[in-house]
Amino acid sequence: MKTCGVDIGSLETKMVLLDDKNIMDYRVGRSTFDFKRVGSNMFNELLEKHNLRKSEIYVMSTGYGRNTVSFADDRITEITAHARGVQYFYPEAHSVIDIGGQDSKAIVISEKTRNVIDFQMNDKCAAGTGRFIEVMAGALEVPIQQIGELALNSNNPASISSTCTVFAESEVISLFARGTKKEDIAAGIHKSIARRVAGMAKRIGVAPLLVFCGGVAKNIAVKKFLELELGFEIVTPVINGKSSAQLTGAIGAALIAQEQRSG
Amino acid sequence: MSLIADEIVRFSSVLRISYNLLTGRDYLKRKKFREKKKLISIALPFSDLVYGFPNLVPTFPIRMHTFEMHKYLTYLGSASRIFGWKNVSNFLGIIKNLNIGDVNKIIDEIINDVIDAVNNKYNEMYELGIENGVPTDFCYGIKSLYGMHVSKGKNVEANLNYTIRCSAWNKYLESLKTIENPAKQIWIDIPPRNIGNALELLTENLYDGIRELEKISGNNYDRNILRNHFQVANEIRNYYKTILYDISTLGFYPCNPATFSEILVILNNSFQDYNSNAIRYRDNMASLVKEMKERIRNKIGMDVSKMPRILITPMFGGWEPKSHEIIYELGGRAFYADWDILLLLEEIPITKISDPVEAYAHYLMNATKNGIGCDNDTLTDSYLRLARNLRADGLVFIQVFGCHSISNCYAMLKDKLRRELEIPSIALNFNRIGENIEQVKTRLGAFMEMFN
Amino acid sequence: MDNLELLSDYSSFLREKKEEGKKIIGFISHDNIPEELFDAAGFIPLRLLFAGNDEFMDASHDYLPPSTCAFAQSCIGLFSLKPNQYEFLDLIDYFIVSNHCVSDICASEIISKRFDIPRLNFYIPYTNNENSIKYFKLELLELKKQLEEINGKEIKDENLKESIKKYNSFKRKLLDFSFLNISGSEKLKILQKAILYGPFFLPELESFFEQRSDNEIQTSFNSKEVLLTGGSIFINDPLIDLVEEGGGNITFFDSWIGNNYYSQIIANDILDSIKNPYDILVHRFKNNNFGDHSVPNFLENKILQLEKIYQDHLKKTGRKLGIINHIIKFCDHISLLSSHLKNRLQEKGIQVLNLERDYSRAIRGQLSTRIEAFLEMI
Repeated sequence: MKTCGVDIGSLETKMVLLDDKNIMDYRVGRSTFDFKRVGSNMFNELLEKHNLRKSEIYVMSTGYGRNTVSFADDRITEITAHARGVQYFYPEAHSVIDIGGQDSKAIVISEKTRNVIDFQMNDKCAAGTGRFIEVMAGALEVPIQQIGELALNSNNPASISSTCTVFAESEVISLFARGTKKEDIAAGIHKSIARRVAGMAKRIGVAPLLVFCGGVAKNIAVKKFLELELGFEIVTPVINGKSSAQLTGAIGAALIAQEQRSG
Repeated sequence: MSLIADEIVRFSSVLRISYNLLTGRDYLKRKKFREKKKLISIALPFSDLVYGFPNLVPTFPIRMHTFEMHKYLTYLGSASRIFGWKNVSNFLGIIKNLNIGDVNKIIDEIINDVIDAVNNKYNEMYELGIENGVPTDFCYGIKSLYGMHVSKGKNVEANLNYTIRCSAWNKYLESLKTIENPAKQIWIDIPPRNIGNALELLTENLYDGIRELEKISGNNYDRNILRNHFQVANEIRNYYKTILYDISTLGFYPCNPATFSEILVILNNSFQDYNSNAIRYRDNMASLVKEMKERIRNKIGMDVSKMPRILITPMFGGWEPKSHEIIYELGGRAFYADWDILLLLEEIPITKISDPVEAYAHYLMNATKNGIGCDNDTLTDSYLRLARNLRADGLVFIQVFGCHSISNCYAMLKDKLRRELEIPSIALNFNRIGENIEQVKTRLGAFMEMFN
Repeated sequence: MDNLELLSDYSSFLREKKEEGKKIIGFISHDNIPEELFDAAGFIPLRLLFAGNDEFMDASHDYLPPSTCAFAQSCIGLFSLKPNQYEFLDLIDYFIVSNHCVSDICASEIISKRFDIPRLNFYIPYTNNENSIKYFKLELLELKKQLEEINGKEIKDENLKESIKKYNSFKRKLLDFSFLNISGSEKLKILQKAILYGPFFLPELESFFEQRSDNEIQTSFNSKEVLLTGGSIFINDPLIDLVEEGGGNITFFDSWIGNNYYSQIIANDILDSIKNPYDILVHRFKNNNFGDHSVPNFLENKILQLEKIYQDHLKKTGRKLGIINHIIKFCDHISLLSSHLKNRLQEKGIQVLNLERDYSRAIRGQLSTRIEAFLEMI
């Protein structure tokens, strides 16, 4: 049985094609402002490549834009999808932290039912999300892909005390103006986001084994500072030696589709 | 270097008050374990009723913590027990005047961070409050207070709770019941308005509270003990007002204005429970007033007559402690006088009313009607009264994130200040100590330029 | 989308009353305002039960900081912008300043002062011990005095008693209505209208009952059943749509618009045995155990109440209820204790979603995700 999980995030669209429980293929691309078009183009590409018809695939959409996927047969929230998706990699996972472009979430999975038992999301403020890092990378004039590595070079993280993205940006600029090293500011930024997310996660009782997923999980500095804040090691999903932290939502949606179809 | 360290060593009374504030834990441990006294937690200046029972000790809960305190302050504490604080203070002054680099540095460090030590602890408690379930929507004060109770609440026998107009405060008090093994709660409901026989009802509520305290104390309430305490409490209030009204309005200060502000901060903190010993606190306040007056008489201090007077308020829900330093650097002098705005520095009218409990009910009702419990129209009038009496040139209003009570009056206050007193004001957003310092600097910079 | 028909009808209703010479008293709708006293004095109570939006909240920032209860912000914004459909706000003659919470004091005071509506005071004590109950009576008598001064005539006890009976019967009917097996959105629409109009709505309510018994249609829902506690879903709030779109159905409204209002029924023996009508109102205040204003037992009472409703429902239907604790951003009462409420109920195996939100459109997507994820959990 073939299923497809479509995770339309605020920044990126992820798509995973499953044949039973095996990943046949996957795609990641920018969501842009036209979620609908990006999703259907990506889906058509997959169909073409594998010589499949839509009627042969059961599609489950998830994520911020899940309601915009016209070719989806059903939809599910990214919270349930991530909780299921991480278990593809780590069947014994206890908790999940997902940091995406616009949201961050902490999820606890029931030991008994393996379903979500509690979750928490950030409030509408951007601090604690990928957007925060993006704004700060802009202020530091460092490419977003490099800011995590830069932060790890620091021995003395600067103190970024503002929890508001706008205030934090001006704090970063003034640190810069005072001659604070770029790597120390970068480390301060990562520490700040980790503190905020860990605070939210602790409130619902996250514990090992905790899987860190979402686009921001590719940033090694956020992972490191999260571990420091939480006081234990966390893991990120990998496929063929490559981070697949972004894919857990789509994988989870595809798996849930399989389970639903097989009753 | 803290500004306070520069001059505070010359005020033995401030040294003592600071020492008592920071070493509260040792004092309270001694009272609890050696002297078998019982601790009652209070917050805001609502400790007076507890003093009616000699074997009960009121404490503002943060004082049960250990503070990061320079080790030399501990040594000084020991030295003071042998030589007395006055001699220790004089000795420090002499050494400081010798201007020997290393020695000077040590002295500077002695009380370096009296305020920082308290505030670092506040920040720690703030994080603990959030970790333990206080939503981020609430003010710094409530988050920190909850953190204090989570960490040290088990040491107290009871929390003495007074209801005020702030609904977050009242619910915070209820939330203390959710802490593991919660202390007993004693509630004193202050009627929101003085109508009908509301005063009698408040007096009865206070008596109910006293009966609960009797049960904890094991001793019967003695009106003479309470009356005597109110006498002491009134003296403290008078000394406090002398500093606020007589000294702070002078053109010549007994120290630099930033030090003066820091003294007001220490008083604001310690006034809540009188550092758990009202008589000792009264004596320190008496010395403080005496020392300040002596210095002014001897022309030791600083001419501040040209410096604009800036009232910073409110600070009890959380405020940025660097504010007065920044104002000083920008050529101004800052005052803090929250308890007076809220009418909690008024005398307890024991000379007019024979029953001390009834007198206390009058005191609380007055504060409710015109200060801490009233509506914004009346509350802003209280701000105006103080600004007028202190001859403030400007007002800095601390708009605390998550404060749904006092913060809400700023628009009305700003309007009244401009219209009735013709003085400018500015709001500073505050969330957590140390956050947004750059913004504070920029805003205060622009604000202080208005007085050039 | 705004329920323009309701607002337009209500506007006509108020104009009609005004033409009859009635005066209108506005207030932020909470469960301790004695509207029977207004009724007995011949006034029309106008409960502010209207949800906010971005524009209302923004407009309030001229008067209050943004970290104020989003509902209080919206009430101010409503007066500040006064869109066409809310023109009836101009008909208000007096505004009550009360202290359900501090935002109530501040917002009511601003509405009265800034929009030139004469102010009446009605403050309530924070606990319900014996002396607080006595104080509540003082406030009732003070309010009576204020109303009598306006009217220039006494409010007779028998009139007040009649009003109490009238409201009581109305609340009984609403309580019956609350058990009807209809969709949450339909139920809410009627509850909102009923509480807005008060007993004037009774004939419409009765005719609704008659129509239902004529048709005897029992709707069955496949949706997941939800109890809503905490903040009300006010008029024009799309929240109920988000719940239903997500596959849920609110079967129980435990809020001002809902149980807090119609559960405050005074038993007949009390009505007969207590002669002084003010003492009847005092009795009701004393027994308002589920109102969020009082301390120190609100949380305990609320947990007991929710657990009972949950267990009764489980016994009756064999189905579990999910609880959505609706927290209007910066609400002191509901927010501060929300994590404790959730933890305590979850310990008992009851699923709770603490749904915190303000009235901005931007968070609608996130709200949907939270609600749907919660419904997926149950």
